Amino acid sequence: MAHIENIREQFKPVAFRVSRLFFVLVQMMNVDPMYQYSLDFYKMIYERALDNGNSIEKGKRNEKVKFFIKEFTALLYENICRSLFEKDKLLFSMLMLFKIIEKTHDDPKILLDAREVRFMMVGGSRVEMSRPNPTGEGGWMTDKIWASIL
Amino acid sequence: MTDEFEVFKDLSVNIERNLDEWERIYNLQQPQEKDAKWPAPYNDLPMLKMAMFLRVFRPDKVIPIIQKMIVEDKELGPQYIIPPPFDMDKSFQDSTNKVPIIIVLSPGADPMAELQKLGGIYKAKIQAISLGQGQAEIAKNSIQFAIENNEWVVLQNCHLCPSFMPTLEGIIDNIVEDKNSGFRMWLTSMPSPNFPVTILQNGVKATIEPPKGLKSNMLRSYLGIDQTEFESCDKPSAYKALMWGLCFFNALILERRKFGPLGWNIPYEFSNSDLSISQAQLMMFLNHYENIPWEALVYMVAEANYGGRVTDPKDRITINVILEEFYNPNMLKVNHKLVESGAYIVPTEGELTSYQDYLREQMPATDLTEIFGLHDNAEITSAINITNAMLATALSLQGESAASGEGKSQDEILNEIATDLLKKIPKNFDIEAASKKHPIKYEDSLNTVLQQELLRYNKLTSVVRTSLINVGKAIKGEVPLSQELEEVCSSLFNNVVP
Repeated sequence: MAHIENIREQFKPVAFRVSRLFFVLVQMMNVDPMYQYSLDFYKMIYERALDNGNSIEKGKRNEKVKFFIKEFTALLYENICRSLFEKDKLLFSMLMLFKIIEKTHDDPKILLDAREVRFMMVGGSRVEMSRPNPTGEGGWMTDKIWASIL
Repeated sequence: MTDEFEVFKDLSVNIERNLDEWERIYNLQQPQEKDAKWPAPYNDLPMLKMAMFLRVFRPDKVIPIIQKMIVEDKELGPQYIIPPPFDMDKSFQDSTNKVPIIIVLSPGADPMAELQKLGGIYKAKIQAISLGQGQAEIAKNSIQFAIENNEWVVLQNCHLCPSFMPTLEGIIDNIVEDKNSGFRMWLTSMPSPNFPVTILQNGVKATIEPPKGLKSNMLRSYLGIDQTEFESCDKPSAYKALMWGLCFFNALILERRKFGPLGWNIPYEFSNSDLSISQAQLMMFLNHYENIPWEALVYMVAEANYGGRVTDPKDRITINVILEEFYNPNMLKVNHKLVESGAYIVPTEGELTSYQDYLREQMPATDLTEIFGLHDNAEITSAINITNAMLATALSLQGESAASGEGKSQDEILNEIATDLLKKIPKNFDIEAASKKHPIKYEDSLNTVLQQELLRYNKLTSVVRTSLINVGKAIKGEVPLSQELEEVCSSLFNNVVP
């Protein structure tokens, strides 16, 4: 029993990644009404990734875990991308990236600062300048940029 | 930014001190690359922070830095920014008689030609029905017929027949899965909220649209070329070089659309059939004439095939000029440079696969404005638009909870913005005073305009003021949060005009 438990533990990073990436799909559903994916579809991709990894020798568990994660991510990207419009493909990659780097399996800390991500998306919102624009009026830097930097 | 984020706490001072350095960065073509050498201590920022800064400093370079983040991530990598080109065969392999293939259309795309080609490969009989009024019965019968005879059935334009969709759902539900059945159902539809979710979830989906970027566009053209046909011309070297030119031309005029009015006066929907007819003509002309009939080639492509869609006279001149770059005797020279810098050339003559490999490996992934004959600033405008559109979508997907990080809560931030804006709103104009000063007179019609404008302006400021006051009250819980108010709140929070 303990042995099985032990092996199970080792594969947890796979489950962790796969379950996290599912939420990227959930997000994508809000982008366009045609982007609908079922859990069954998701599981099918997962199973395919597992099948592809069967050729790796039994003993090399660490390698297997790495392979599963890589293979699943690649398969998912390929399958989903087929059904996305061009304009949303990079968006999908970006969301995947943020999901992946936001949290790792063995570190409970959230590694991605939500405020920073937000700022990148929103951009500067200020209009008031507490100090005048150093390039002066009509300089290379517009007031809007300077106000946002301040 | 400077006082909001710890990393950037000296940024504004730094910029004031190193103005020249920052100006150099500002004017760089690729400020996101390592060799841009941002002034210390900002020369070694993590990429997300670089992206934040570029968002305000050079918004056109946010997409490249995001791409760079994806490419350099140890888990992802370069293959995650080059989407796999459209491959109908792959979708077909994932389908069964019970799993339909849904082709999501975009304007100007027509999958029928490719479908027929695929049907030819698998020796399947295809029945195509365009859905529309009164076609429901016919469609039902054809599906039945196709199931019995192991044929393919294509229901086109499902978005035009929403009333049939529930019936279709039922039909698919009743099909018994059978691995040996040759029956396949293909559905084409524009994006539509009426399309049944169960079909979408269980089917294989594929979108078809002109791909983005010269590289993927040309790769798709080259993947669509038949190997034997490619080798069957009497003048192989001319054919191959001009085929390259034609595909390049096709990709180029499609890509030009992203520049908006700078590219074309009207965004034309060139389609794949324009390309295939031009390819067929190229073969025919080269086989039939001893010398290459340049004029005829240019005329047929620029005036007839593609030109048929071009209605604006200026655009007509443009398309001719562009084509002449690709249909001319210089193309036959070895490795002819398509632009001065030599970033785009005609690859050395070879087999079909050698061209595909060239596209995959050597063609620049991001298009250089040089090839469009436009100034670099055209690229900036279009890049900013794309960036804004993508990030706005991404933002709308972020949950509210994810948005409020440590420090201030969303309510506090909102309250701050609302009070801040309230202070800035000008007082309503005094209409009476204005009418005394500028009375409505027969001789001076401008005064009438002034009066009307003032009234409207007052209305606008009043609306803004009340909704801002209400936002403040709603946060405190004094008034209920109506849907309207909620929208105002989220817009304020997301930095967009409500």
